[in-house]
Amino acid sequence: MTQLSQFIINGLVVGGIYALVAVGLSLVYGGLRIPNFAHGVWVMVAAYLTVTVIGQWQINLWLAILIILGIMGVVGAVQELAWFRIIRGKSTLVLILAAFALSLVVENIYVLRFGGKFSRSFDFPIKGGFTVGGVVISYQRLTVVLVTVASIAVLSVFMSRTRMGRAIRAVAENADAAAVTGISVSRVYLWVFGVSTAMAGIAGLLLAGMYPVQPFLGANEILKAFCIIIVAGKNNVSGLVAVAFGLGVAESVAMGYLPWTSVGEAIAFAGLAVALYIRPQGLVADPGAPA
Amino acid sequence: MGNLLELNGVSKFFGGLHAVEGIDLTLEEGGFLGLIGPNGAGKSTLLNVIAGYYPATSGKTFFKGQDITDWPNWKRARAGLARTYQSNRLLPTRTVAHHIQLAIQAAKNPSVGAAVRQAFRPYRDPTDEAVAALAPFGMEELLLEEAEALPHGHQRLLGIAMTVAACPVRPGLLLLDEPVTGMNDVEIEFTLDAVRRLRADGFTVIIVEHNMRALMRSVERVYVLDVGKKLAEGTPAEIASNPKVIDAYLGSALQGEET
Amino acid sequence: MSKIWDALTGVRAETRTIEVAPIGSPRSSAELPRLKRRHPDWPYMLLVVAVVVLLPFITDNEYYATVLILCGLWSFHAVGQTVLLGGSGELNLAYGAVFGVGAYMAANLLGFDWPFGLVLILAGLAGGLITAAFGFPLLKTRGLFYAVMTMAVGLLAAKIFIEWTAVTGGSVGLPVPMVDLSFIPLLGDVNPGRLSIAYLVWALVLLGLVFAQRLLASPFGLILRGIGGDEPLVAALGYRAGHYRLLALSLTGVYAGIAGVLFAVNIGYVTNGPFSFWTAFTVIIMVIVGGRESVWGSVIAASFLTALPEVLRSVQSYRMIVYAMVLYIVVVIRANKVAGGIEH
Repeated sequence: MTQLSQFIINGLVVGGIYALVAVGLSLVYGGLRIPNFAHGVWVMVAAYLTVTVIGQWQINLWLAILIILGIMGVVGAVQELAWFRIIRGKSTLVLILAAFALSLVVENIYVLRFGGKFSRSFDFPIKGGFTVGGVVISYQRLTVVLVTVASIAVLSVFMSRTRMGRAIRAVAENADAAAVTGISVSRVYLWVFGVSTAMAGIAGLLLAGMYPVQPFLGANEILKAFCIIIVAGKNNVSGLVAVAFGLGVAESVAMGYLPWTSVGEAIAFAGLAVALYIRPQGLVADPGAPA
Repeated sequence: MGNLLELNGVSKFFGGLHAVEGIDLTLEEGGFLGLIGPNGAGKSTLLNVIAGYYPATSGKTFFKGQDITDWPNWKRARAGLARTYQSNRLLPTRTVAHHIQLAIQAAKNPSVGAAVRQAFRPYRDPTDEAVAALAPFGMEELLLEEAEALPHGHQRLLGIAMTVAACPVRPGLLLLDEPVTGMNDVEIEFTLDAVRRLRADGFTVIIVEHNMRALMRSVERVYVLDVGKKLAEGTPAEIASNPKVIDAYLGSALQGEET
Repeated sequence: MSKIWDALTGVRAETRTIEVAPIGSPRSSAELPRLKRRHPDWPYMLLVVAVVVLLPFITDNEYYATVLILCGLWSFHAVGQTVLLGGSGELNLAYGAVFGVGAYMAANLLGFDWPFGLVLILAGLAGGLITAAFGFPLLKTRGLFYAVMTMAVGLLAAKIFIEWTAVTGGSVGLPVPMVDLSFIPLLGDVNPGRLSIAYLVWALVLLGLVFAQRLLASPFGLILRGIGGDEPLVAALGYRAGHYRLLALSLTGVYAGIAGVLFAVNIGYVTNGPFSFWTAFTVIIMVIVGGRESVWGSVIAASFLTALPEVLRSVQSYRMIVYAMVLYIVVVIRANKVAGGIEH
């Protein structure tokens, strides 16, 4: 029983990362209909930044976090301006290819700089943990889950209470109508990308302490994030979080009890395939949609 | 001889919205039915259900005596149930020729096997067939033009031409969804003329139109929908003087103005 | 700013409407436009054959046979993916995995002394069937979701390649027995084995090209492109779109399987590295750069993108960066024409 609980705890941690990535991605995909495959790459970039800024330069933790998130936010906005703006409104195939191209460019720049196999490890600043009923919960793990939930909560507040948040929702609903009411659609795009990439940054910050940092970090997570979005619906934050945590736990439990390492993923995709077979439009769609 | 089309208690609900409810409708072969109703009455939804684009929530649909309630749209098309769209629905960047060839092939043999087999047979010039399909609509010179670049009226006609060319059998049922909307008088006359010729060619027609003048003077019978239910049915004269119908439209539409 | 970009790249902001005679006007001229037949392929094929055969006499560089083979392999890949991408516009990101299946089949079956021709055919069939098998349940999805699912399949397969050591040798890999292809007449003074492989590969490229070209130019191609443009519209005409999409997808699998055998025989030792999503995506880049619907374009783009880095001896990562940038530029410039069955 304690073993199962341990697996579940681990699964919640993994799920938390998935949730962060999925929610961040859903901002751009759900709001702006851009399937940003480059999202995963920013997780990696943030992780490398973490290792450098906190690990190497030893800058004060809180300041460093602010700096990194700030950088990621700006990077996100620049991403929109320099890479995606020119193809705004074009077909989804164009957007997918452009997003893939961006991810390839950034990944390979990092490979050239740091080498494909090279990875750095990073020490999480809060060590130790505590035990509850035979289950070990490290502070690191706890932090991941708490930060995930907190970040998403902050995001929800941002989206519902702030002026920019409401503007984003307006543009996501109907960009033309929003423009008519005086909302600067371009500004909204910059903000959405900025916030989305900042969320990726949070995931990167957390991941840096968990796994070795290498240029292909985040590739796994981005695929899972898309799958989570497919199942939960691209605008449904609570659904995304639920599915993400569910996926993490399912993977962790499966990997714990079954011998082969790939089983976790197999379960995830099997579940996804089943979900898609039952509801091809994803689980959130108009039930009367055309055959 | 039975009816060409028969709807028994057909309903379509979208979640809580009852778009159409309890529709009973019969249409004989050779008929020409106009489907009218105020905005939001459910005309397009009903057309979509008949076409198989939406599955009916309840009720049964019969075509040429067969129960087609569960038939998907491709199956209905192969049986002779053809539909056009309310909006100009065409393939982006493709030529008129591409569209009409698609339609012609569909009538010949829409199966994958047939299409693949064609690939490895000697080349046959498809121009004549394409021209023949477009000539009744006066569009044969536009073969190589980009379909979406055509003016609105031509696009609508192309939609009709495709639908007709793709219909492999006669008798056929043609569902026209607002075919003359946005057209000028000359174009409207031409289109109605084309529909007349199609009827002579073996098509039974159901037309949804907001342009009351055009519809009322062409059709044989009128079926009126209001808030998803049948309001009245009869000849154009009967309907025009039916107080319930006039009420539903607030009188204006039936006085000859376009909605 | 955006107006300048539009002007520079010719990207149209709105659709234009052309001037035509009003409806109902009489025919303006007796001459009707004819639907042009496609240019015949055989002059270009002769050109390719000439290049492949004469190359030994033009260059002394012994490396050229390798470059020739690589260009051929990638061209073959690109032709295979063009059937799908240039038709319905869907992405098969599991292509690399099926490619791997073909390669592992070669390594194993040739090790049991099965004849090369048989292995080639079986790998093609296996590739097609396996692709159909995972493609069938995916038919309910479209566009982006479809691509993501194929990506997931590919990733799963990659894991299986590592785990199933009995068949694949795991991360260590498997050797591929030498195949005697000396029945093909040889020219030049390069190591004879290499050259015969080059000829074989290019012969198959040309065969595969003709096949793909005929399909895409036929009603099948018309219908597939129609499905890519507006699937419900095509279905309403009476077509079963799922059948067409599945066939196109399966055909890419056939190409992948055959390519796997060629690859294995060429390289002599098979490890799981090349059977990833990256390979699939690189092929897609080549198809797009060559013009999404053009089979010859795919061959040219694949050859060019392969030969150039080889000739420049560049590192894999630089190569990927260049590929990605080229893809981006091509996609941006042709954004209005790179539509496809991937709207969601």
